[in-house]
Amino acid sequence: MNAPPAVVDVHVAGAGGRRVHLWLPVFVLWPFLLLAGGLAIAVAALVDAVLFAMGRPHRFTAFVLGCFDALTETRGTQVFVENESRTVDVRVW
Amino acid sequence: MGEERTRILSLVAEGKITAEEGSRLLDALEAHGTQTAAAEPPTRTGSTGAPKFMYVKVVSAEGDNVNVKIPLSLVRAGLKLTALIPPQAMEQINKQMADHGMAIDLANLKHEDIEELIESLREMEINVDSKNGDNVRVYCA
Repeated sequence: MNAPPAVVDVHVAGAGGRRVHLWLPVFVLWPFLLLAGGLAIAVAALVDAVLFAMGRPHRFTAFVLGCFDALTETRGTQVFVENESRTVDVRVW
Repeated sequence: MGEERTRILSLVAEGKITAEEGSRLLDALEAHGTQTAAAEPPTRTGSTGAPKFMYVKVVSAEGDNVNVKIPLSLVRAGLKLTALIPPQAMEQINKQMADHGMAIDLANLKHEDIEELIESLREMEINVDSKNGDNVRVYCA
């Protein structure tokens, strides 16, 4: 599992030469993400345990971990959209 | 390279060069051919290893461009996630997919299948050219 995305880079260029460059330091959210992830895993594990005891086993914990894995794999995603009036470039690092 | 080889052989046959000289020339020609092949960059179809990204490129006739680069590890993680969807929800998803012409049971997707799928994406290339000049290209590299 990789680390979650650290930076989201957004470039917007308008038709009149106006340019906006947003450098979003997503890494500052990592501690909150860790907290939220930990909480979600704990709740999912508890639900799994209860459902297992009731004879209806589920894999919610694995699902939460899978969601976290998918989130971390968004690194390297790039979306570039250009039309007559605007150019938008979003990169996830 | 075939032409040069024939020329050397004909020179030997005509007696203009000796067999030994001809052999040396052929060796030199082969060595040159190997070096040239090594210097060339690998072609997309000839390259090996799992592809890293999926590219979606859309160029419209009106001048709009869309380029999307998606890490295939994200596709892999998403596919793995489908195996963890609760059975009740999975039944509904499979039914909806079958209704739309995709009769795939996502619950049966195994880790090996996902890896094989990702690996074989290297050979995939979708090129769509519409009448009005729009072009859509999807490929992995």
